[in-house]
Amino acid sequence: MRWSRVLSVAILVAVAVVFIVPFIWLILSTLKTIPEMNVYPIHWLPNHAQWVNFSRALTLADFGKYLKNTVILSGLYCVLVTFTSALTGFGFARLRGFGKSALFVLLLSMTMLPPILTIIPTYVLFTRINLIYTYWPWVLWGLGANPLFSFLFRQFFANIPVELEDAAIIDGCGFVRIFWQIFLPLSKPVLATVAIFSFQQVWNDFFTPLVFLNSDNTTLAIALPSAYTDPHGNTLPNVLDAGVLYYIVPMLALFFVAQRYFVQGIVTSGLKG
Amino acid sequence: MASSDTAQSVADPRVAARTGRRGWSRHSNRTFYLFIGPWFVLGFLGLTLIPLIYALGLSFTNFDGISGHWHWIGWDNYNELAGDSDTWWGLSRTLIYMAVSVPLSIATGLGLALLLNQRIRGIAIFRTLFYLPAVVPVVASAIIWKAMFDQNSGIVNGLYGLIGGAAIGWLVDPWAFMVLILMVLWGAGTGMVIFLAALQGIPPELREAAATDGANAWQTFRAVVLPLLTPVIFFQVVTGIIFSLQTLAQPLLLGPTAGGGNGFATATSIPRGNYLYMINVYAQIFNNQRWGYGAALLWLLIAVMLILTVGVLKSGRLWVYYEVDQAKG
Repeated sequence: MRWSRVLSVAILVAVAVVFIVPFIWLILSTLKTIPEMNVYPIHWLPNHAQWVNFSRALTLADFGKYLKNTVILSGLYCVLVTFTSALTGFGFARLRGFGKSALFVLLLSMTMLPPILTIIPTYVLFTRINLIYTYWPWVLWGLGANPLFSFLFRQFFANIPVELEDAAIIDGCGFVRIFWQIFLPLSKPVLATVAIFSFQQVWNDFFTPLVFLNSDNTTLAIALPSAYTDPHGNTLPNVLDAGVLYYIVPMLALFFVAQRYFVQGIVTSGLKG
Repeated sequence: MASSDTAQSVADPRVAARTGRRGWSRHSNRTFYLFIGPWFVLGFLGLTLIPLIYALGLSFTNFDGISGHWHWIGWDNYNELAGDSDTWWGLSRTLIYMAVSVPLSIATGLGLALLLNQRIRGIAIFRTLFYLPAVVPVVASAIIWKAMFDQNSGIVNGLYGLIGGAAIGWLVDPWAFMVLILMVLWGAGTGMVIFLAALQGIPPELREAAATDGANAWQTFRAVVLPLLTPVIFFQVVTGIIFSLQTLAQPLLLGPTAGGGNGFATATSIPRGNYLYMINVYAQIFNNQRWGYGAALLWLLIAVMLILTVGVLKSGRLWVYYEVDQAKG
């Protein structure tokens, strides 16, 4: 029994090392000089840690501008989609209507539709009505709700006791007020989960900003990989690695402080089958 | 007015039931549609169904995205893609990618969850560490992966050199495919979280009963735990298949950086092993401006997805264990 416990811990530690090494390597690469990166045999640790790469990552490219773009776009989508998905979730959890169960099946099947399949034709449509190179597509996607987020809200709302609603109806309260004044204030956990996931979705997204935005209003995901070059046009991988660290640290931090909301969201969507 | 209605209702319970129900249901119908309206009208009709149908229409034209001189060309795009070796190469690479990445992701997720489902002090730290890569954006994972597998400066060749191996070009054929799979597995934390929740939902009495009957750890897992996990595995197989078929960002970002342009790989520079179906779709639409042809390729993929999904859903009856009565669900 003791022996198997020691073995378990040993395996856990070994696996943890494998999962952590990429992060460590990213940090070590940031701290090296370029000649040092390219010597053979490999130079494991930097001779003199090049902390200057962290400031070069902010100054060699307009990091601030792309950060601002990313925050604005992620925030915009996050606020809109959280609200509309809550509306949809409330409708499916609490209201009656003709064709509701068929619509719910439709909503569930839409959670299984990979976004890229609709994004490519949407791009063609939006090109023709001049909506590309603007943030309008994200406004529209935000206003159009998201099936998975709607499902998360629906599951949460469905578990709120019906007595609360009955009491409000007797008091003459309409469903809009019930939603806004009773359900939303009770829904902080699911609001947090959806807000985090939707913000993260845009922050991490690669394909959509690649095709819908231009080099001026695009996000960090698109701008960073080609942002860092010396005056001769050679890429600067160590500065890029510093930029990547800046790009991922907010997501890692968000996960550390809001871990339980991540877990809750994943479990609710993953165990529905 | 109200009082006469009430009087009539009291007089005839059948009328009361009817008007009462109709009144309630009409009000509620309207409210229901009001609440789900944004999703249904804009999200579903406007931004999902119409684009898909539009793409279907485009697939029968030679539209190039710019010129107005396009016309209906019938099945020409479909005939062309059927005879295009890139279509079948991309599709076969994608099916291989699916057959390798889906089982390995599920096995990794389940393996990590089993490791974490133990009473060991500090287990929460391991759980956080294992999940961490799953929040790393794909662009960043690809840059990290290219740094680790770099022929000169990468840690992988560094370690390989320690045991006397000569430097390997991991990011080109035939190794690039393996590197892609490893990158996907690094982010297996989502599946792990789901499996961990499922494992924690298994009543301890079931395991205890098995132990009392003299089952060892493996037998308990095989006969008690695994059948109870099949619904979760099933769900992950279905989503895994669908999402692996549409993989684009990972192989594109792992490809060698093309000179000029936006700094991302182009379809021609991607190793053939990583030339997945969507790479071809992307190249046809965004590099060659062949919208009609690209739309036809997209619809072939949708058809393949539908067939595979239906097939897997049907197979579920054979191997998925449901505690509740199947007929009811």
